[in-house]
This record gives sequence, C-alpha cells and structure tokens, in this order.
Amino acid sequence: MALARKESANARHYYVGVEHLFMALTRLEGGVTVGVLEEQGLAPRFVRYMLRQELSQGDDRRFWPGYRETPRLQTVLKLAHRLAQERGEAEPSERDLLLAILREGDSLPVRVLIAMEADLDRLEVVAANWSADQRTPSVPVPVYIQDPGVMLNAEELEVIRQMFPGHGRVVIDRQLHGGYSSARVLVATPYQPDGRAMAAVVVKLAERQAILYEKMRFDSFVRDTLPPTTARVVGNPTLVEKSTLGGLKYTFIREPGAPGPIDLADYGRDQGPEAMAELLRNSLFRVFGETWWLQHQRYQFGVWQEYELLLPPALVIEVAPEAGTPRRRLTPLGQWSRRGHFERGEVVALEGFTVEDFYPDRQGVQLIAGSGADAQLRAGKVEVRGIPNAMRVYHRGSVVEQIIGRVLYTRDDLLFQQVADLDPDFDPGQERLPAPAGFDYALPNPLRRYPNLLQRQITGSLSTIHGDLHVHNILVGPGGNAWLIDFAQTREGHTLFDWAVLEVSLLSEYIAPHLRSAHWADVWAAITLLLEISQTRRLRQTADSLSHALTAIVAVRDIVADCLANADDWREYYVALALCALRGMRWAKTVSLAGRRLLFLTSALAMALAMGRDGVSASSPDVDTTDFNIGVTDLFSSQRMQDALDASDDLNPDEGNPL
Amino acid sequence: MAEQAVQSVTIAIMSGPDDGRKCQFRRADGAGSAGPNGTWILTLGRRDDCDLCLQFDTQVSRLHARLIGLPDGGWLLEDTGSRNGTYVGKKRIEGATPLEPGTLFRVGRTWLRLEE
Repeated sequence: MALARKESANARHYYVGVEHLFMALTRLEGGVTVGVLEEQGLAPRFVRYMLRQELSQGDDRRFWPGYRETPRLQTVLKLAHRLAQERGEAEPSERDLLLAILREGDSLPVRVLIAMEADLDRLEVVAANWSADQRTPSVPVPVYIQDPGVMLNAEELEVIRQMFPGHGRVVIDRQLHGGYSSARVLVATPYQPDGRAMAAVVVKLAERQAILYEKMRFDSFVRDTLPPTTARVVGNPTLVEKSTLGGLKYTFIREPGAPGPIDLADYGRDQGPEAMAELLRNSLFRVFGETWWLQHQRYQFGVWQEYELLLPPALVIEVAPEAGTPRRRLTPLGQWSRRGHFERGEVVALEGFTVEDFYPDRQGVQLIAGSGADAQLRAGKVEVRGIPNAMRVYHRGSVVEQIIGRVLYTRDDLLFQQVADLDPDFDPGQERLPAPAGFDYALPNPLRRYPNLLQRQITGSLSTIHGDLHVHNILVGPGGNAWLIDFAQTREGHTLFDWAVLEVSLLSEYIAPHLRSAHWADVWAAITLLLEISQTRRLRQTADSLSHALTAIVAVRDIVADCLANADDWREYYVALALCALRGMRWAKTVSLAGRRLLFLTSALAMALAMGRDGVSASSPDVDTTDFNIGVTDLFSSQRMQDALDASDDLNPDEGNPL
Repeated sequence: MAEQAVQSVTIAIMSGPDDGRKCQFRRADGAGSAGPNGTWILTLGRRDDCDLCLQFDTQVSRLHARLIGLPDGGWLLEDTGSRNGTYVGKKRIEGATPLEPGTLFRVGRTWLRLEE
C-alpha cells in the first residue's frame, strides 16, 4: 500500500485507487503480477504506460488531508482480505491483491487490460496457480545474426530476446535500414524450440517513446485502414525494464522460400525508375489511397501548423535564472516562433512548455508546445541548454512552468549554419540565388523567404497521412505489394505532406547519386529538369541517367495531381515541398553533400513556384494577402520577382509578447 | 404510455477519487426534475445543486451535462455547454445522444456508467 500511495503521489493524485495499487504490483520484480503479465506477452512497463494514458495528471488542489481510498479500492481490499483468510493468513499477499483486482473486474486497470486484448480468465487462472519456483528460469533465447553487416549492441539484443519469448532461436536475416532516426528495422526469422522455422517478421527497435507513439498511432489511425496484403503491427510493444529501447513487430504474409521484403530505395536501384513509378502509382497509391490520401476533406490552415515542426527549433537558449527581467515572455504556439526577431543574448522567459527530449551531451532539453502524444507534431520547439542532470530534474511530458534564459541561437542562425556547411558559391544572406548561365531565372533564397511561407494560409486536403513517407518506410514484398512501416508520425494531416516527404527522400537518396558531381553547376542541371517537370508534368527526353532517374519524380507528381484540393493549383504542393526540402539541410550525417545541395535548390525552386500561379486557370478561394497573383513565367522576370519579394515584406509586423 | 417512463436509475462512478461509488436516483424521492413530454431530467456538474455533484473534478463545469430519461425507458445524454466536453466512449458528443446502460461516458476527467 505504501507503493500504491507513492504511485498516486507521482501522478499528483491525492487519492489512492485500484489503478495505483495495480501499478505498484507491476513494479514488484519477480512477483506474480509481473509473471502473469509477461506470460501473456504484456510488458509491465507498457501496461503502466497505457494506464497512465488513461489517468491524466492531477492538479495541485487537495480536497482532504492525507490519502483517501476510493470506494472501489476498499471493495478490492475487502476481497483480498477474504482471500487471505481463506488461506489462514492475516494479511493479503500480492497474489490475493491481484486476484481481488481481477475478480472485482470493473476497475480502470482491468478496463485497460481488456482494451489491450489481455485474456483475463487466463490471467486469473495463471495467477491462482502461480508459485515462485514454478516459474521456469528463463533461458535467454539465442539470437544469430546472418547479415555480416549488422551489429547489435547488448541492449538491442536484449529487446529482441524479449520479443520472442519461448522460441528456440531468432535469426536476424537482414537490416532494412534505419531511416533517418536512430531506429533500426530488421528482418528476423524466429524458430520454434523443435527447430521449425516460423514466418519471418519485421522487427523495429527504437527509442521507447517512439515505439509507444507508433503503437498508439497504429491502433488509432492505421489498423482498420490497411489492405489485406500488407505488413501490420502485431501484439504489444516490448519494453525492457531499465532500458530506453523498445521493440515492435510487424508480420507479413510470405510464400515459403520467397525472398523477404526490400525497401523502395533498393527496389529502385535493382529495378529502375519505371518499376518504381509503377509501384508508387499502382501498388501504393491505388491500394492505400482509398482509406488514406483520397479521403479529401477540405480545410484551411496556416502553413506553420503543419510544417513548422520540420524546421530547427525557434530558439536555443541557455538557462540564466539570474539574468534579470526578461524582455519577452514566450508561451506555446505564439507568433514569436515565426515572427519574433530575437537578438542573441536577449533574456526571455519560457512558460508552460512540455519536455519532449533530452540532449545529455550538451546538457540540453527540447521543449515543445502542448502535451500528450501529439505534442511532438506541434510547432514551436525550443531547445534549452545548461541544465545539468536534466533527466533527473524533468521527465518526458512534464510541463515546465517557467525557464528564464538568454538566446544563444535563433532558427535563422541554425539554418544559416546548415547552409554554410554546403559551402555555397553565393552569399547566403542575399535575397535571391544567382543562377548559372543557362538557367534564365532567379530563384528566391529559401533562408530569406521561409518565414513568409510559414505565415501563409492555404486551403488544402486533410486526410490520414503516414507522416514519414520516405523511401525506407515503403517496403516491397513478394508479388510487388507495397507495404508501409513506421507509423510513429501517422495522423490526420495535410495530404500533400506525405508526397512532399517522398519527393525529398527520392531526390536526396535516389536522384542525387545520378548527378555528375556535387558541384553546384551539376546540381543546377537537375533543377532545370525539375522545373521542366513542374511546368509540363513530364520530361522531353530521358536518355541520360539523371533524366531517367527523375521519371520517379514524374510519378510522384502524377499522384499529387490527384490529391490537390484545387485541381491545377499546385502552390499547395510547392509550399509543402519547399519546407520539406529545407528540412533536409540538417541531415549532414545521412545525406550526401550533393543530396543536400539538391534539396536546397529544390526548396528555392519550390518557393518560387509557390509564390507564382503555375498553370492556374481560374482564381481560387485560398489566396490570402500574402499570395502573389502573378504567372509563373512573369515570376521569373527579375522585376516581378523583386516586386513580389518587396510586397511580402510589409506583412510581417513584429509581434512578441512584451512583458 | 407515460407510466413506462424510467422511475429510478443508478449511476456508477468509474474513475477518480470516488471510483466505485454508486448513486441511486428515484423519481419518487423527488430526484431530478420533470422535463417536457414526460421526460425526467438529471443534471451533472460541479455545483452543489446538481443531481450528481462531481466536486473533486476541476475539469467538470458547474453545470456540465444532463441525462434525459425518455418515456420509452431509454436515455439521452446531452452536454450543456461545458468547457471540456462530454464523451461517450472516446467520442465527444454533440447534441442529445442516446446512451445505453453499461456504456462508459465521461464528463471532465470522470468516467461514469448507467447501471443496468
């Protein structure tokens, strides 16, 4: 009961209920509760997490002294005492408490277990017959790695072992790349104790929180919308006590002996761009479109609401509690993150942000607006440095009432640094990019124009989106079926977000290797072709390897054409593309220099197109005051460009939150 | 016909500090109030004079929702302009919504259930 009280205090609940008692039981290592949950493949840590999702944090108000027991807890305790008496004991044991909770049957933890598809009858039977020594000492499942390119550390191996309890062995066949995050995606074949191979599965290992989000998003957005022939998440996440890693399994149907899935990047390299285009149009878009991207629902949104999250944090500040009176007080989702002009060294106060992530290497904490699972998708991140032992002071999801600090860097500083790393042959501070001979148009400098883009209002389509549709998250299974994995960002969002992410990923990973070199002139050659695709939706010739590879982009644009909110008004897409491409500036570790240069110029091209009216016939209702009613051919005449740039500058009155 | 109208109901509190409490209301004892067309209305909120008073939940509005007993024995649940909404299962309700006994519904942070 002392532990239950502690659970209650942690959640700032000033009462003790069955949920607190149950959480306490799941923390007794080697106990009955842990044992029976694990027997059903339910990680106690995951059960606690799901329970906490149902139990919001309490508030500071206390209505009575001490801890009050809920009526239901009293019922459960009475039941447990009766069970103890039947055994001739005075005090109930852990098992009595657990059985009483299960038999009462109506409490929050029981409802959560039911929602997690636990077999309650079986839990009760196993608990009733549990004895500590009956628990078979768990023999660690041996893990063999077939792919010599794969190295797994001890923590990762432990997660894999726990994902396959009771198996004879697990063979890691292959790594399917880890994408851009630190997550790893593997193909594994489990074997039964008698040596029979079972169906291979895709195993994802990632940071615990990401795994939990993915499972939740899969349940709420994906589970019921999948075609029958795709991979799906099975079971509950595996979380290992005292580790920050978690694991998730995807199963898929595989013909015996048929090769396992490969990702779209490998598929494109093996089969060429036509096969890739075909796969995108017919296997991916046609099959998933019905329940995902084609669920057009018109909505109007500020570009920042869907895209600011892709950019670096609005500010990096260093904690300075004694720095004096802050000039500005910054609250979540304020305009300051897009319009506030900050000086380095300026003292600001942050109020009401939620802790999202930790950067122990620089004593940093990432703060985000809002709370709950969706907060990571909201705009307005701030990084705070100078908090030693941050992980002990805060935990993920805790709300920080106030932090006072000095501005170290602004988002502009971070972006300029990223672009400086591209070794530009132009001044990154100027308004327009100097185009090489042969490219007759001037493009705006994305570093100067992105704040205007964020402020725009556009009418678009809302639908279920994958949220991270890059080439490594699209798998190609036997028979040419497209499968999706990694649903950690899946949500209701701007439909074109997915396709812009995919185009950017194709450009950086599939197209960039076809550039003659990383020289800016060779990158501009690709931009010329991209402009041609944007103007005509096709390429005149595809004889050379670069143009040939770019036919994959033509396929993406064909899909985009079906998803536009206003047919023929492509600005909705170019806004998305410009900001998705700009995000790529921070991928110095995973994307080549050529790839990042290509993305930078793509961002510039998309911004130019987003300001113009590419191929638009009728005027559309989604033009707000920051749009420019000029044709794309006019746009590139430098005078019109300059006018457009000038016009857009008047619209940004600086608004902070003066104290 | 009107004689068939619900005469009593039990609401179980399913979460929070009062989890497990069961509140019985009888029309004959003067609980609730009579609505139009033979309906019986019970109010839910944080205010003392609500039929079901949830004073410990700060996310419950003063007058949060009402339950409407219908002459045919069925129940409707209606939000009365609360700040944080009323939910049946995970769905926020708009307008009067039929409510089956045994289904969980939520006002503020508190889950409730009509007992069968």
